[in-house]
Amino acid sequence: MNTHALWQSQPLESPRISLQYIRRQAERLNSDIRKELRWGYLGTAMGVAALALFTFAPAPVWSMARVPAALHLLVQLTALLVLIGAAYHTFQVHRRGKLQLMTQQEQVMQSLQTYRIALERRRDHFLSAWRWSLWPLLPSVAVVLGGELLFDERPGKSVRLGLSAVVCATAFLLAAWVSWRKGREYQKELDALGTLE
Amino acid sequence: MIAFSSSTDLPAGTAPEALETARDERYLEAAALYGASLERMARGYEADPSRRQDLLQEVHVAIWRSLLTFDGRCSLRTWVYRVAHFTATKHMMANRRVRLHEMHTLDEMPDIEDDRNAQPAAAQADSLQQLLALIEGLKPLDRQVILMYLEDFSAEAIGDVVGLSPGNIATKIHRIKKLLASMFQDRSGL
Repeated sequence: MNTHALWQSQPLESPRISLQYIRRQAERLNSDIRKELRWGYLGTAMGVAALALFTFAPAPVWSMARVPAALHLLVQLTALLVLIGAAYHTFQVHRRGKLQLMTQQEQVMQSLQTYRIALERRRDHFLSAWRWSLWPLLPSVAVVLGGELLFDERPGKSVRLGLSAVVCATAFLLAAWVSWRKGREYQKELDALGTLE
Repeated sequence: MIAFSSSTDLPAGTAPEALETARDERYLEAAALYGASLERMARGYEADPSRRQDLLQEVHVAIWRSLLTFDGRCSLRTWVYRVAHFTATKHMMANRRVRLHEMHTLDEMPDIEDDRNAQPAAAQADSLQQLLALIEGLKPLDRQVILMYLEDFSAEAIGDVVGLSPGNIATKIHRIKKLLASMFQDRSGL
């Protein structure tokens, strides 16, 4: 028996794969990106709903809460800025997510070169995420911190201001670090792809 | 690198249902013609039986999905093997990343001496294991070549799938024959 016959005569053990099964499996593909999109939309919608309450709450509500007029305006301005930032963020998530889904679709029929390009896109998506997803929120943070600096008359203002700044900076750095780590994972996959050639 | 068109060979404006039906028919044809060969190919990429099943399913799903845009500019066989090897390579990267650096090209593979005394019947399973060990040590491109060589693809057909010239493939096949000859000295017809 030659090697061709040896190879081709090996026993096969897999059951037949039905078309229905293939369809079900295919629907599950891209679920990670779809999940990311869904969570992005849901989170933004909840944030927008909560902030809309602040922004458009009628004046009597603010008087009942005994909030000074300056603080009232400050909170409304912050909420409005967050709303704008969230709208921009949702638009970016939607646009970039759709691009990723399209790329995944293309990958199926193409080569490792296309796969490399798709991985590079994913990597760049996460490595640059801090720029397009965080900066729209900076104006609202600036307004909050600026408002605290200008209008807060209570004692220990500098400590509270410092603490607020640290909390905001930590949240931003954490979000940037999570994105960066995801980007690095794609880079590792790209490095592994490089070793195959 | 091989370029693909994203158009289909069906007329523009064909109803989505008709495209789906054409895809299903092509998939069933491909599965009937190349199902066994694809299963052997999966064996060449994944040693673990349960993960091999996963790989085989991934390959079938990838083929089914890709056939929606099959444009008929290459044969169905070439298309199926391009998708299959690409999917298998992706699977290999995802599951066996640690060992990628240990893989070699055909030229880097040392000649293997057959140190077994010929035991024809009993040795067949061992021979298959030895052949699989050789395949598992190869980088994806050379792995594709040897797997298709073992499936009786011509140099030209292998070149169509992997995107290399027949001359390049012939050189690789020459090296494969030499490696196989050193493995199975007592066998003929390589």
